[in-house]
Amino acid sequence: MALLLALVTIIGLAWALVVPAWQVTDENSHFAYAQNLIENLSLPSSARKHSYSSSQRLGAAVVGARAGATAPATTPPNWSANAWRAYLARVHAHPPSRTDGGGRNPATNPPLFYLYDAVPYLLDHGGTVFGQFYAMRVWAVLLLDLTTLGGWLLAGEVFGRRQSLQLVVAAVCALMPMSAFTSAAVNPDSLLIALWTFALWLGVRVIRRGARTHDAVALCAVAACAVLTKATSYALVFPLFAAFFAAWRLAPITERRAVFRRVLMALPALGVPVLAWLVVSRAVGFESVNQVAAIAGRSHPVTVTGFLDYLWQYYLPKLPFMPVVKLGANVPASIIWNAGGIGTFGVFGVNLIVLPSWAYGETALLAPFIASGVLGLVAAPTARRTRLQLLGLVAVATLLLRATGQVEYTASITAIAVLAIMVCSVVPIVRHRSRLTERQALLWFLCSAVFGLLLLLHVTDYLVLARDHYPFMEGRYLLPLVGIFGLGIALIVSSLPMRLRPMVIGLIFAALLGLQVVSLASVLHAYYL
Amino acid sequence: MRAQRAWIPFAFLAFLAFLGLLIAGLRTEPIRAYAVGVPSVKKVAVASSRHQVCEGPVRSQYAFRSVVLWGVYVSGKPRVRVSEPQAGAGALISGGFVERSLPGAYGPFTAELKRSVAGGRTVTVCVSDPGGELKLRGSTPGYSGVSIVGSASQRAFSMVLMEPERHSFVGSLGLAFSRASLFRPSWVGTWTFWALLIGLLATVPLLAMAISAAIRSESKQAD
Repeated sequence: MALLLALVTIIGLAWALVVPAWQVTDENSHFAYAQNLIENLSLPSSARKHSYSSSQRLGAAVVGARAGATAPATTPPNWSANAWRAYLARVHAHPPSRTDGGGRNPATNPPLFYLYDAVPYLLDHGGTVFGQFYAMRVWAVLLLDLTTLGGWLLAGEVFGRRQSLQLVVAAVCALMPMSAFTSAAVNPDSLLIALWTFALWLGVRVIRRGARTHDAVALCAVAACAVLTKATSYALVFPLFAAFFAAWRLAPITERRAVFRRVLMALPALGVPVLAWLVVSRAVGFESVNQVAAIAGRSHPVTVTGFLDYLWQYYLPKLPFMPVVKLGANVPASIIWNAGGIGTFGVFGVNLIVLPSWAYGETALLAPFIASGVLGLVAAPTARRTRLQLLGLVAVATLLLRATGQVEYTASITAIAVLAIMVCSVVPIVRHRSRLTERQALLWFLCSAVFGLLLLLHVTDYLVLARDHYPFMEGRYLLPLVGIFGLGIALIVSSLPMRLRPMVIGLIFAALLGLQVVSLASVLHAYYL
Repeated sequence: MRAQRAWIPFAFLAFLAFLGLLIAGLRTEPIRAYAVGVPSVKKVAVASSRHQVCEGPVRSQYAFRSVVLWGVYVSGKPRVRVSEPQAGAGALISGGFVERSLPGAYGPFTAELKRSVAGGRTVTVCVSDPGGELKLRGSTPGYSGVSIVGSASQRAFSMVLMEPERHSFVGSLGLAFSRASLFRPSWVGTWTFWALLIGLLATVPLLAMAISAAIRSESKQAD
């Protein structure tokens, strides 16, 4: 594990330092939020002030990182040593203000991540805006390390102390290019991914260890931290209660009352901080749940049937009787399951630096096989022949889709497989008379996390599309589930004969490392050559 | 496979991946000498046979041979001229566009000059389009202070100058790292990126060790 952490730290530092300032998605807004919080001790909501401070605006202008106008394909930065020296001379002679920001900011997240980022900012408080910015980026690498550790612990709890599987899950969590890119940035997603991975680990502990008080409190506290990082984490309510319910169902009838009592004692660790934040944000007029709130001025009516039509057409071909639903680009579902993968093969930054096309095209075909492989192991753990037949069916379907030029519908296969896994997870829960096994409970818990996040994202996407047809969904929003993706891959690895495992693990690591190198090289090339 | 040899598949696959990446990285291509730093946001000028659009002052640290512009090509044969005002009329280098895009196509368009322009000189880049017109895209000038000559409102068209020689990605790493070390904290220099690259390469044996140790530990548990 220590060796993997060393590797992840090196790669995280490379991402933090190679990507130019404010070039990760929404990084300018997040930096402005943090700077205002630290300098003015207030949330960014003033209508009378600039969104960005003078120091940030000058720094962004000098590297060509003006908001909404940054793309190295059309606006490559100049990287002149003279310009850098001129900038330094100017800011040393007349330091630009750091306190005149704080105006309305697209980043309306709760403040936890920005408080975390206050530490490196204050360490370089007297320096230039670049010193403060990169200190924050480097500090974020710790969160990538935490995600790695969370993946390791999660796998250890699910599979037991099987180091090769722990290594696979931890590596998938940290070394998928989009995960590393997002985590080594001034972006609350870095903390969000780490917290979700830890919440998943703690949820598994709650189920496996009978909801001990400290596990239950820790799970609630981590979930609260996640909510105080980004509103997306309200989706954690689903797996949280799924874990408590599973622990209650697994307990002998005589102990269920005690489990219930322990869970009740733990819930204030979630409720109190979240309620406090909602009260404070309302009191200061800060929009605290923008990502899940209803949107005013919709141009289309929002209905349940409309949502179901949207959901169907997001993943599957439209049926003749269905109305045409306005969807964003990259449907059906390819942005979620294929090109964006689970953020596996990212499109880096606001500048849309894309990897070579094969990374999206050929390797994206892996997604249906991974999902179907997991489905086979979940639905028919002992029937090897059935599993092979399922994979054969997926291979034929994929080849047919490819031959007919409908490759994007391979995402539908992935979606169907994921839905089938979810159905498999619910069946033992609703069948009251059957005895719930620990394995079934874990599947139910993990699927509830996938379901919760997907539901929240799709509802938001539907509301946004109903308003102005602007697509909201991005593959990176699934990164909080990266631990579950890693578990799926590890489950497949665990089903292989022992003699094949070193080969497959080697292949996974070589692929992850190769993708990292290609991704970093693409960014270097786009910005600096 | 014996647990002691568990590192071999990864090392072999990593070596293959490294070889593939090295081969890809040795392909040569043109690299940027200078960028005006103006985003291609909207139409800022129209170059035609009657109207030549010039932009300056441009001072590239490195020599350049081609000019990349963004815009909408309507018709005609756009041409680029680079002049060095202080050197008199003789210092005028012209060139035509190497890509024949369809009318209506967006750029970027690359114009190849007849000879290279040495680095460190202050020049003006002019665009004309005999027999047609080229709608140049850009926005307000950035920190570089470059703008369209004679423009009443402060505007500039997006432009990149490319070096005369083609370079491989691997051969250009030093240049990329030196550029990446600008606009960074004082403790970051070119050395930082070389150190990270060495660290990244060192991860291959680290990973091999990690995999080997993990498989060995599981084998022991199984025994």
